[in-house]
Amino acid sequence: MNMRMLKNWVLLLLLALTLFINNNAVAQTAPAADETVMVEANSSTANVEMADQLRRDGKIYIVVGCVLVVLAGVLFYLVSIDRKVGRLEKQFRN
Amino acid sequence: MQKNWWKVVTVLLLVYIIVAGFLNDVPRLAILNESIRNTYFHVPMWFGMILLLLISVVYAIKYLKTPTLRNDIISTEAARIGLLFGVLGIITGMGWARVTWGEFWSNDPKQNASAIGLLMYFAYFVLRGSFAEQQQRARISAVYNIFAYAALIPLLFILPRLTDSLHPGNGGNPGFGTYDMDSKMRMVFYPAVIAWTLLGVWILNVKSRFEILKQKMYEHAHA
Repeated sequence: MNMRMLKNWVLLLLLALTLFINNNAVAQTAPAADETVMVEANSSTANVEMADQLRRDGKIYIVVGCVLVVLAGVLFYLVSIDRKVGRLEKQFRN
Repeated sequence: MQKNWWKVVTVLLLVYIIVAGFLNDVPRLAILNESIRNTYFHVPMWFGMILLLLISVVYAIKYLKTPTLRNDIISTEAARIGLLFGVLGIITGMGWARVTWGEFWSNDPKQNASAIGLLMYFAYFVLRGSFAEQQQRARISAVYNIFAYAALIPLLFILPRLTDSLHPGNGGNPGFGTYDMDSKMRMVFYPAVIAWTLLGVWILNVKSRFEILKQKMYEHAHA
């Protein structure tokens, strides 16, 4: 039971990673489309300063990666506490 | 696993909102700039708090009808996690306010009202701590809980609208229309509200199961 649950969680994590990588790839192949949108957009909104350089450098992906690692760590801890309480509940019932 | 499907949903939604929240397009707005993405992280804290405190008050009423230990524990723990979300909301809000409104605290009606709201819930825990006898503690704090929630709603949702506030969606009677959000942002914002709230409910689930178990073991040892 426990092994199966662990396997499920690992699968989940892998799924999440692929989601991240896909999004990354899509974002990196898209700059051409982005620029056309920029030209078409009216100048007043296009002049608003955004983190465009950060995105072009690709450094934003490090930020997303870091936050995902932190989230993964916190959630892993929560899951392990959850399972510990579950085990204790089972022990108490017997 | 069947019983825990919603925890899997929570994880998937949280991963989605972090990836989409940082990488998706957002409206290009002056002053807000990229900080508009805080909508996915700061605002759901308050939604989560309101819902957790609602769970708390529902279990407080349930306790008054049927005084079981379980109702008292769930009510208290929901208030605790709701308060945690509120504190996170106020800290993230202050950071956001510093870069957009110029100050960490500009005595905005909604800022002040939410600070008062949090203090009321801190008082709830002070009140609980002042009783030695379990049933008395549970009953009186359940009654206080109802009053606290009844006061919190006008503080957060009515009073700031009667005056001018820096917060969007205040002053007048707007809906979400004034949140500077486009349909692309809503695709992340609504899942974000659900995800963070579910995370709170998950923590509540684990914490109250732990507390109930602790109490049972204590009773078992003394029986």
